[in-house]
Amino acid sequence: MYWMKKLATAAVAACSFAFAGSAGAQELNLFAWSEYVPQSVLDGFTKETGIKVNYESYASNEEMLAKLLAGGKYDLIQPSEYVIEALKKEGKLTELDHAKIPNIKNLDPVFTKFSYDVGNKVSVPWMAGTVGIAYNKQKIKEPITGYKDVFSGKYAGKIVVLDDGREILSWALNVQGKDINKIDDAAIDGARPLIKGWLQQVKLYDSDSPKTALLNGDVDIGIVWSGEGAILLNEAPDKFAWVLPAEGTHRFIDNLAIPKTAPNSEAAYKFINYILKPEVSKLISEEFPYTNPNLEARKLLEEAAQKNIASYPPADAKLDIFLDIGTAASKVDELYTNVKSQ
Amino acid sequence: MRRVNWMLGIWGVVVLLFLYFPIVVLVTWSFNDMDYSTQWNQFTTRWYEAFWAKCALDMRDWFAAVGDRLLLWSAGWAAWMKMAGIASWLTNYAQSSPEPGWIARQFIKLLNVAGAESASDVLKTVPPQVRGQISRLVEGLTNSLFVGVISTFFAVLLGTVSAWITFKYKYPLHNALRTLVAVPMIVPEIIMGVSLLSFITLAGTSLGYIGIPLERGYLAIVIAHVTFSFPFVMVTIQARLAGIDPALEEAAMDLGATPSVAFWKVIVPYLMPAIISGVLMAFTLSLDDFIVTYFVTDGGSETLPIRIYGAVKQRPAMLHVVSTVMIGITLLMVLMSEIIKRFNR
Amino acid sequence: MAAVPGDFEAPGIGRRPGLLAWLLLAPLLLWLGVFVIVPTIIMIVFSFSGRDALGEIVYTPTLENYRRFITLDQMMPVFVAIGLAVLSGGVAVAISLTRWGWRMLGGSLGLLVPIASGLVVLGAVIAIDVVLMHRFASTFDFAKIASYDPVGAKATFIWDLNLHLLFLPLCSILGTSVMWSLIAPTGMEAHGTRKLIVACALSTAAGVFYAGINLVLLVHLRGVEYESMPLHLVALGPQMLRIFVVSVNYAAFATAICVVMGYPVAYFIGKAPDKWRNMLLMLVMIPFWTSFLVRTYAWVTILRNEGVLNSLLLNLGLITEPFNLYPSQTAVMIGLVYTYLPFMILPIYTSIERLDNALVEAAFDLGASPLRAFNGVILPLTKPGVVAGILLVFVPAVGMFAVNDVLGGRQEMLIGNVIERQFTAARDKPFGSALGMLLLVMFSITYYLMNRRRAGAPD
Repeated sequence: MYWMKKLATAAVAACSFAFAGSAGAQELNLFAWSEYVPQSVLDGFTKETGIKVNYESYASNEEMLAKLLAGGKYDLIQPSEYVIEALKKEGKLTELDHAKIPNIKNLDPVFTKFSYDVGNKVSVPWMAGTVGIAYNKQKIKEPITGYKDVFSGKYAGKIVVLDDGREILSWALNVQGKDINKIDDAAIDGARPLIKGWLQQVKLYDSDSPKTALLNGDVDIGIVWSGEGAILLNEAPDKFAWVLPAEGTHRFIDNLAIPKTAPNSEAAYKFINYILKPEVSKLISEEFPYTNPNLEARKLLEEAAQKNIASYPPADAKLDIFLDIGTAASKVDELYTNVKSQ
Repeated sequence: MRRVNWMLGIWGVVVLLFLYFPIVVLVTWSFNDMDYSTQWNQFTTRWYEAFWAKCALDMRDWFAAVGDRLLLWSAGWAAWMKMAGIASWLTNYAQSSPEPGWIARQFIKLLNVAGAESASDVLKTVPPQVRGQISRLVEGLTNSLFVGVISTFFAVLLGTVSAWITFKYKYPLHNALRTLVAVPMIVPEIIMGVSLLSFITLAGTSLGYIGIPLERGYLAIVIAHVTFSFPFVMVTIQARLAGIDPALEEAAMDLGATPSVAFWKVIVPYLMPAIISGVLMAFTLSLDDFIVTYFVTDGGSETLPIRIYGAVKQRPAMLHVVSTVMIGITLLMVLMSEIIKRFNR
Repeated sequence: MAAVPGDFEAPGIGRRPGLLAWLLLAPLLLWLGVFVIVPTIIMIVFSFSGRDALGEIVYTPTLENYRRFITLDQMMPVFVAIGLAVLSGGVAVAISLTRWGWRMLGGSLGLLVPIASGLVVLGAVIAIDVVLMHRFASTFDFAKIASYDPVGAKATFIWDLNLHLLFLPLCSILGTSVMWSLIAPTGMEAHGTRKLIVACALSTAAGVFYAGINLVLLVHLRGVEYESMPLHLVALGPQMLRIFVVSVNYAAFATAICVVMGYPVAYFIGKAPDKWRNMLLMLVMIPFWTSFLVRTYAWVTILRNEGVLNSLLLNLGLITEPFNLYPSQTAVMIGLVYTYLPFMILPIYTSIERLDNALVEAAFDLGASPLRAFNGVILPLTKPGVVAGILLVFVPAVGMFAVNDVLGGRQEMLIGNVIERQFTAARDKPFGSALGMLLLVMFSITYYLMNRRRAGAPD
């Protein structure tokens, strides 16, 4: 009896602690890619505005969509370009009131003109990047120029790739010289044997942090996000090299957007405006060295960071953005599942 | 026969080595001065220092925010236990002192001595990504402990009462009920996870109209954890009940006890060992659960396993530290339960 | 830790419930109703629904989700396989009913019987394959099978291959042993149609299981395309069946290793002197009390190319090239066994602790060899523990996707990963629900059979 009561009171006490702790404070529910928002930015935002940030993470755009549509109450989401396009079509995003985000003037004009959202009506770019090849110079001596070299068969069992069906399909389409946004049955069937041959050589699928496997010597070569490549170049410049595939590659732009269902859109506006400050945006770049769309912030970066070829690709690189492909997405998923489990 | 025993003993040692090798590696590698790679570099305690700095900072903030309400709660607790005299004094004290209050200040002072004062400096010695990881993992740890305590309480309450009444009374459809209780134990976790997720997305929105907001988050996690852990508590208690003398309660009632007094004074003490192991089991299940939680959690309420899963492919250093701390907590719990057992004897 | 499903048979006082008693029962009923039954019903409804482009549920009744892994016109060959398995199960029951069969089962020969009958069933399945292969000889390229190099692209390490080579004999032995040991002891006490049904159902399961193993072997080991597969193996829709079978195989193999590893340990602890026993038990339990993800993660640190194990072996000069152990199927298997081993040891320990020593000694006094004493006395008496252990390991292992994610590098998709994917990335909740229903039905049947058998069997 004594024990029961003790337990009961302990539980009740713990209950009230929790409620006391969270009572009163304003909150911002941020739903973003895993390991993509620096803690220092979150802390700085809380300090400046008093708004607590709940940072929930996802590993793919599709996962984000699934949870958002399952009734998730998020104030701010961080989808890539083609998902912004799809969500915009469905009318799921709030039209942004630019008066509430004066710092939007800091953006590089290039990033206000992409077709998925001309003039940043519903989204504000967070970071942009490309997909490229990172490899261990010490183990791989032959020159690497594109996807074909990676999957030549010489490096079978030593490859890490992004765990993302659409991404891999786009590589195959690039190799075949096709439009990466024209995805129909013919394109899928044409790419199938190529992808099948490729995936048999892959050792590890990882979208979150493929650099870890490269750094730890589990694999020698990988097709990874440019930010990962930039970190590799920073960590061990004499060990790793970065190449943009000659066949062409995907340029992605991750954006902040406010869903129509957001419970606290005011806080979301404040956050968008906050991260557009040059000194804040610089923090993001330092931790996640992707292409920073914020021109003012780029000027604050160190010389070496500005010259990192993974972060800032040459102007003549062949880059394409993804467009929304609608219901073909499930065909891509089916292709990926099937090829992967063969 | 003796030779067989020898072989069994050697096999036992081999299996124990298999069980403990990873744990030894984890603990050792938490002192490895390497950020990304898992190769051994050199001995360091800086990860622990950073970890403790973050904990101390958080605790200090917590004390500052909670103030002496802590005391108020203990007073309420005492009042509940009918120790009215001290309770009213405590209540008066806690209400009279504005936050953070004397007691809280003492705690803060203690923590400052233990590291909170210099915490920000200590935290600056580790890379920013690691700092972010620490705060996410620490938050996960507190979430885990919080969810663990609450769900254990409800699981044990529900499990104990249900075990007792199904033992005492014979309800119609007794067998169907028994099977139903076993369902959460035998169904693979993933099915429970996805069905609860569907339930929350569907029922949650409709329940919202009548004022019960059920969303992914703490409430959903606690519900999920109670659902899969109370049958285990129930089974443990039923096992103990199997050895009870049915006349025990009758005898107590013959001596003039009411049914509720008989339950609390006779049955519960008899069941205490089973209840304690039920508590341990429910708490462990809750701390350990990944799959069900994965489907019903949201950002702020992610428990430690979810955070670990998110961090597994990132920098390993802090993971080793947090794992070692978890193992420490476990060992402490085991020791405590052993002491309680001795004490009860 | 008496957490053994179906093992709690408190006799109860059995008073008639009054109003208060019903009120006290209400929380339990409400909880089970709202958080177990209703979600399951929702899942069933989902599994018969459609979805729109963004993944939101559309409530128009459809069978499409089930069609993706079961189609009726492909089921005929499966029925043939099942029929064969039922037949072999019937023979098993018939043998166990005879005096001769029983004597053999009780003696040390008993261990051989399941092995032998496993091989017989296996032979039959292979024979059917060969017949079917000849029928489809035009599409079935024997030369390709003979020349296929399994140590090529995907099987990066020779152990991965060996794992599959081990699968066949081990699974057949395990599957048939379970089948036999479940049938035999009840077989002679009474013969009823129920036992026959149970036996047939189990052998059906075993038959489908063999067919699945065959499929995996053909595809994995010999690189045969699905298009040229014997028909009865493609019945369930090739991808999903394959994923399902691979998952079940992973779980079954992990369970088998757990039994083999755990039984001696449990026996050792159970028969240790009193003062040691609790400490030993505690030693086994402590790892189980730390988060399994943490423990799984530790294996990454150990197994990776420049990890603990490889550096150790390289430094000792035992190997010159690091083992490619992470990520691999071997690593997943290690992770599964490591995670679930305590779940196997504990229930077996419980039943060994209850084992009456006098019976074992009597067997020895009567001149039994250790093997015969084990097979005739110890194993039958501790069977409830083994069965409970198998349930406790196998059931969660089938749905486990985290270990595969962490240690397997996402190379192989298991059924858990597929279901998880439907609810997150793929946004196909109806199909995920349908797959969930498949698992649920499978486990309900297993549990029902186990429970019925035990409820009916005398102690």
